[in-house]
Amino acid sequence: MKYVIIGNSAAAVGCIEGIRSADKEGEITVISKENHHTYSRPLISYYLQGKTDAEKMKYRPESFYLDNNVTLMLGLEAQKIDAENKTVILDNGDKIAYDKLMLATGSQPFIPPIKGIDEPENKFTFMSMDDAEKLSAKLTVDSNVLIVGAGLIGLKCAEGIFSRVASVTVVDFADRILPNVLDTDSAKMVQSYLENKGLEFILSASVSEFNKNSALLSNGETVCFDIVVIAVGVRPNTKLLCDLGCDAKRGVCTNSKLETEFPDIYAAGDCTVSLDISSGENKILALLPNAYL
Amino acid sequence: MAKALKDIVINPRIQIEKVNNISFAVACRHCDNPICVKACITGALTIKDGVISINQDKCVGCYTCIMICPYGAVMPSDTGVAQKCELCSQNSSGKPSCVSGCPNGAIVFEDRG
Repeated sequence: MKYVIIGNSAAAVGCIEGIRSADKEGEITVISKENHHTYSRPLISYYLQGKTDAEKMKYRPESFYLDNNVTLMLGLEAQKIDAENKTVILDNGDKIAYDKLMLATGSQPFIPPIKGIDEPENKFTFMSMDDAEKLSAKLTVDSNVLIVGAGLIGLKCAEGIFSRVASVTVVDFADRILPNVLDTDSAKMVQSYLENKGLEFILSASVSEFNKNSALLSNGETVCFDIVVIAVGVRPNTKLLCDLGCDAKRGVCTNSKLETEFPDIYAAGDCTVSLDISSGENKILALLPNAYL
Repeated sequence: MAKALKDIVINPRIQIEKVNNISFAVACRHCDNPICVKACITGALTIKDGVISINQDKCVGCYTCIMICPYGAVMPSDTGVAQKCELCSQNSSGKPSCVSGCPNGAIVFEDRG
């Protein structure tokens, strides 16, 4: 049996461990565009804070791939799935054959089409180790940082960099911080706690236009910055499946066995939609434990 | 004893649950299928030879394990990262101190494999 996994984070690790609990012999190949041993993405803010380092961030021990007899293909991106011939075509032209394919492709930051979005020199997203390292290299004690988005990613970024810069201002279109996880009353409590620490918030406002070092907001205010971090949300990486003719722009739908609508193609983690039992809705529940499980 | 500990915060790895006149000690059950290990975002919690332990050097104190453990058997340590019962495998005695120290002999250690 040939198993191919696209992606190398929590869902991929869960998949490897799951396969090996039942099949010690099958060939497992992991394809990842990132050039890193599997690492814990949520730790990138702790990394900037100095609470962990690249070595400790490894989600599994150094010998993980060897111990589980996994062929690791790093720095390569899957471009296309040939479902008929059961192969994955990589950006270097290689074709990898599979019997069972797992899409553990995660998500990527959404960059909204704001006027002048390409103007700021120091513009970052906050999702991967490489993002964190690029941002870290530009931080100085004199930096004024604007974070667009007061969701979990934006605020984890603020937490990670706050002690290393002069100021952090967070802008969000919503009327409260962490709008997806907190109600108005609790958001107020968390906001005042963070404001006491020194963070600044501008809510019910979006960025209408970027210039090199400033942002014009929808409320007429102008915020000057040295560094801007875009954290307005993420989009699932589902292009491979969409190209097969599946409507998965908002996330891959799977059954309880994680099977997609295509035979022998499975999906797990942040690229998938699952049932939120607290609301009864199907949505992307992008949390590391969910991805692993 | 109680006076000596006044104002001193201790973070035990074992919790005493009390209901009316009944009290009992709860420590990690070392589950066969541990949800704390699955939920750990850093890979600090691992299960080896049936014992669930935590690499405190790797833990960042996100407390996902504390929230998810159905027994309340994972808790913050003095340093802020998580801690739990590791069957005293890290202690000099090498065997569970709660068992040897319980004056009522109410705690036993049995390997039910």
